Amino acid sequence: MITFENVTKIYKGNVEALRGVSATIEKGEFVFLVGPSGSGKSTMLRLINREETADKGRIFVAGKDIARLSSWRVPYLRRNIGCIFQDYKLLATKTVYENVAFALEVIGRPRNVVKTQVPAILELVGLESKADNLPEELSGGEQQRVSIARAFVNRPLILLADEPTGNLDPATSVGIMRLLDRINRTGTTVVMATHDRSIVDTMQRRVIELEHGRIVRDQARGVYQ
Amino acid sequence: MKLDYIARETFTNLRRNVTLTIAAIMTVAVSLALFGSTLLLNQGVDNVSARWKDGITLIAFLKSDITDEQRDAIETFIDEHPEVERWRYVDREESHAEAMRLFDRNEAMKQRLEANPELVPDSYRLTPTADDVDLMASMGEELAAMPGVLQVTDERESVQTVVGVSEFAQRAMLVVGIGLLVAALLLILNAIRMAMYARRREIEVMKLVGATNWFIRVPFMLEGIVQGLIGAIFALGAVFALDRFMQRAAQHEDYRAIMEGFVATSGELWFTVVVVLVLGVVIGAAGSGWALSRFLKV
Ligand SMILES: Nc1ncnc2c1ncn2[C@@H]1O[C@H](COP(=O)(O)OP(=O)(O)OP(=O)(O)O)[C@@H](O)[C@H]1O
Ligand SMILES: [Mg+2]
Repeated sequence: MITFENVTKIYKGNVEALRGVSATIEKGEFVFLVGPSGSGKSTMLRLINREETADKGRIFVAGKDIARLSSWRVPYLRRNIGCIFQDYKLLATKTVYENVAFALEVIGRPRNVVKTQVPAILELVGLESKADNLPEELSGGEQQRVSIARAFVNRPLILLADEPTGNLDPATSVGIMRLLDRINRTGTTVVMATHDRSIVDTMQRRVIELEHGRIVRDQARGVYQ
Repeated sequence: MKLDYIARETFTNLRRNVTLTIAAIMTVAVSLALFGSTLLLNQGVDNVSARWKDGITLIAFLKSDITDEQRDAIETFIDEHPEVERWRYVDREESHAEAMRLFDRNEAMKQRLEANPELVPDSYRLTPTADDVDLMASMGEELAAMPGVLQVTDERESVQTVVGVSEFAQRAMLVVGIGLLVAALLLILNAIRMAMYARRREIEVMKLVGATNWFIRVPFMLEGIVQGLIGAIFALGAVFALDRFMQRAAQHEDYRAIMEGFVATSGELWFTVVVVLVLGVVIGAAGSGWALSRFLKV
């Protein structure tokens, strides 16, 4: 589903964020990206949905070399990739329902699809009762559920999560991980960057460890270490 | 659904940025008002110049009952004067066409002309070699005294003054107009940039979930275009006011001879209207397009 072939990413100012990274992630896998701050985890995620482009090497997503996608096709790549973040990125002026509906509206989904899909996904994340609340009226965990609902409402093939539990207490984090696990079981490939040792250790999934932009460990059913 | 989304977003943007939007609209309005007025005046001057093209400065209008002998006498008289560089006989048909053009929007006058074609007489039009006003004046007096001549007009001085003043005014307005046009472009650029800044989170989410560039851009493009268009509509108010003023002046006894040529025909007025509207749209689209290409990264 995702293949990195010798990928190097150099930011402005000659910062080498990734140096010759190679890895293959199969469809339906759940992968943790771990490593110290600045090791290149977020960079890997941003390369997958082409927020950034690689300077060397090739990246394949769903069989396509994404460097070769013309810019007008990038949005269609992104429709297959959901993203969640530590800071949720919810729109403060929109209700929970509107935040999720927004993701479908702006890709031109018809009204009736929005009307059936949004309540269904809110039920999946357990927030049907909060549909009309604003994000500021929710707890951090609930906000992250909304952001998961928004990322998943279009049933993407891949879900990228950049420290989704970074702002949450351990008990709430467990709830979020259960949700991500459920999503993974529907066949969605999940790639999650995290610093959360206990989550990685309890989930027992594949772990890719980065250090200074290199993969130093790639282990099935691994631990944080 | 896409349409009502786009309309809603465009309107929200315009409202959110109300002060900058008003500033942009006002600048577009003033610059296009100057532009449109220049265009209108310019066409007026062209009308006047057309009448005096070839440098014709002396016109001898002929009585309708003029005889061939009287005609010959006048032509001999003109030929004998070396200060006349060239001259031209303008027949009734040509004079009539010219008058109909000048009075394009004066229906009453047009009807009178249609009913009595002899109202517009034949004429001789003379171009002097030297720029000697006195010589021409004395020749004009002699011509006027000849049998068969209705009237001689020498409108050179007044026409030159009006044309000169108007050309100066046009140039000044054009310079100020262009300066303001650039200011308007920059204001629209900034208004769109502010709108994009205010909506940066929405834009970020739209990109993340795979909204097309087109979809992200359209509300901002429309916002710029609406600003340009509203500015243009205000500018048209000024253009119409100027046109009315010119028409009034042309009806005034004292200035009629000079001003009537300046009144643009209805075709010219509509041409100006279209140019102003198109310019408004173009400024709006250019300002927002510029903002989007600079500040919206894919
Ligand atoms: N947009 C950018 N411009 C320049 N340098 C950047 C940019 N983004 C990241 N970097 C640099 O690239 C390196 C890798 O950053 P990245 O964000 O991928 O690390 P990370 O593993 O996600 O770290 P963290 O755990 O702190 O989130 C760092 O040295 C960082 O400073
Ligand atoms: Mg990071």
